[in-house]
Amino acid sequence: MRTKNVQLTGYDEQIARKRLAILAAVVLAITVCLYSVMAGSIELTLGEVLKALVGRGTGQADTVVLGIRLPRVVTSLLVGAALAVSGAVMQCVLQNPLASASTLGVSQGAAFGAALGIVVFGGGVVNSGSSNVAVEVDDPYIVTTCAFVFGSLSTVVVLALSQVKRDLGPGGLVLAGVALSSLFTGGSTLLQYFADETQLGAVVFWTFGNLGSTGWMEILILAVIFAGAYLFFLCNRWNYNAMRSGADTAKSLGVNTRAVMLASMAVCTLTAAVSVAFVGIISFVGLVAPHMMRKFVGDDHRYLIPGSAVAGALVLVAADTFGRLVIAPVILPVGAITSFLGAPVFLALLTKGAGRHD
Amino acid sequence: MIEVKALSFSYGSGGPKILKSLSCDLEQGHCIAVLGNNGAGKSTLLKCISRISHPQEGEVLADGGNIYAMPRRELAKKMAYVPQQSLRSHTMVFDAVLLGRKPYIRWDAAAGDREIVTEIMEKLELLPYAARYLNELSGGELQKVVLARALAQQPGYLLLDEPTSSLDPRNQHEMLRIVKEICDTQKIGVVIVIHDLNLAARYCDRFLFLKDSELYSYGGMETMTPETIRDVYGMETEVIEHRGYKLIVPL
Ligand SMILES: Nc1ncnc2c1ncn2[C@@H]1O[C@H](COP(=O)(O)OP(=O)(O)OP(=O)(O)O)[C@@H](O)[C@H]1O
Ligand SMILES: [Mg+2]
Repeated sequence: MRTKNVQLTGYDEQIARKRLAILAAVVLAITVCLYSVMAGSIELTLGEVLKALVGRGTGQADTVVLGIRLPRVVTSLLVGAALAVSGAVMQCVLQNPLASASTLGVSQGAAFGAALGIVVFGGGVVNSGSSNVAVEVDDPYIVTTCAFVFGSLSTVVVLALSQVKRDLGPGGLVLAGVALSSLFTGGSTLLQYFADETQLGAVVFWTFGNLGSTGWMEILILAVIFAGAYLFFLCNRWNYNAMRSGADTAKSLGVNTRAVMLASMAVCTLTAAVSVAFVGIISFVGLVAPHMMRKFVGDDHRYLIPGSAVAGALVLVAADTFGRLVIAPVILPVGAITSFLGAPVFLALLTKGAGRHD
Repeated sequence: MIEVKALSFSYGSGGPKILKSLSCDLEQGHCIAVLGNNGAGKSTLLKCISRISHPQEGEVLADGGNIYAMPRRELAKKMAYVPQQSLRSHTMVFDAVLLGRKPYIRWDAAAGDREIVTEIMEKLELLPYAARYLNELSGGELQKVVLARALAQQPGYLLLDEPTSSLDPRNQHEMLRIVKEICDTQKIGVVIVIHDLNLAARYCDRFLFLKDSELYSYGGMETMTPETIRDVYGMETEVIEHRGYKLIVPL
């Protein structure tokens, strides 16, 4: 990294600090994951968990770890990472520090689409047998497609607005997001009148967020989509860095800003829509996690993208573990917990004059 | 050579024409000053030449190729542009300059890229700032960083929009001296939008005057006359020679 014998005062140290921050978040995330798998109505020791993970556990530990807790933790990791990375990218390409899937109404649109897929196209069945309401998405493709279509609707409106009214500012765009959110939330509420008993559970469920109902099939789909999106974002990290210094500068550096923006927004929407289709609306992770990481790694997307992924995963696993354990056996909806966490950060960003985006 | 041919531009359709059928040849090996009053269209001209804005009519050729038809990446290797105002992100100075290597980077910056960046930062006395963040720099320091980024592109043409507006007198001369030196030694074309006529007269050898969205005059030192300045800026001046340099003194 050091070039010839020239001293770059403190540069290598700064880079090392950024890497260290990401590494620390990784270690923290692993710790929280292990704890999350150990803790619950049936307490397991670290040894039992590890044995179950390598396939040498006892019958009961196997069921609890592999059948219930591990899928939940892996889902949290994937969804948290996906939402956070999409948030970081949206904030960059829209030049808007308040952007994220839930603040722009993309999540709410996707939730409405998913509910529509279940109620109208019969894409899902609800089992209310166990202690917590579980939704099985029979046909994930219908539900996901509907989620994507309606999530995209929000994206298209937001993009069109930002193109037509260029002086809208970050706050204006979020106001548009608020309008879209209430529109789609209203739509979801209306759907409830046309839903039968079991479908009703599903629709209500989507407005809270639940990480406990995904099977390995859904996890596989989530993982594939996330891996693809992550790779796409990583390939564009230099483009994002260029765009972060202004659209004009980015163009003069050879970046087709419009194409990068549109493609990135499409990928972000897809990621958010798939997440919502499987686990419901989880607010603010996409907003909070990137800003947390920026404190440590700055605006450099070479570190911000991996960093946001780790931070998002960490935040969501921690929030869900908290919601699961704090007044056990009642499980609090994770979306509510992240909102409690996110709303203050959102307000802080507003008072910090986030309008200037610097 | 950059050939500007009958360029017409307006913001939005039906808006007033900011540039009216403007034609000129910007040659390599020259330092060209673009002069004109506020709102004359200087920044707009630079943006059209660097494909940031798209003109409604006319074309721009760089080394014979239509810039609006060539891949952006190729154009970015030919031309670097420094905007009138730069954003301050939370980015380290070294990384900001490294961004100038963007057109050459496929997957990640190579050791060669870092060497080029270090060399340029050394020349502009920016090395002590390597680990500072852009949003913690003074206006003048930031201007030096964005110039460094443009130089890191190793362009054939360097387009600068008021690069010295926030610099102290020593740094104004220092920056223009470096730019002129690169222009002379590497035979690149430099186009500078600048308001300080004395700096322009000292470091530039071609003067492009814009007036009322049109090209008023374009030529060598002989075009820098009190008459031109009166017509373009509406200001009475005396042009005197001192130690071989032209000085423009307002009356
Ligand atoms: N984005 C824009 N939309 C509409 N009009 C614009 C826009 N940018 C500039 N203009 C107008 O175009 C004209 C030329 O602007 P330009 O920025 O090219 O001037 P300039 O010569 O660079 O001025 P200055 O010396 O103040 O930088 C001005 O009248 C300005 O009001
Ligand atoms: Mg200007």
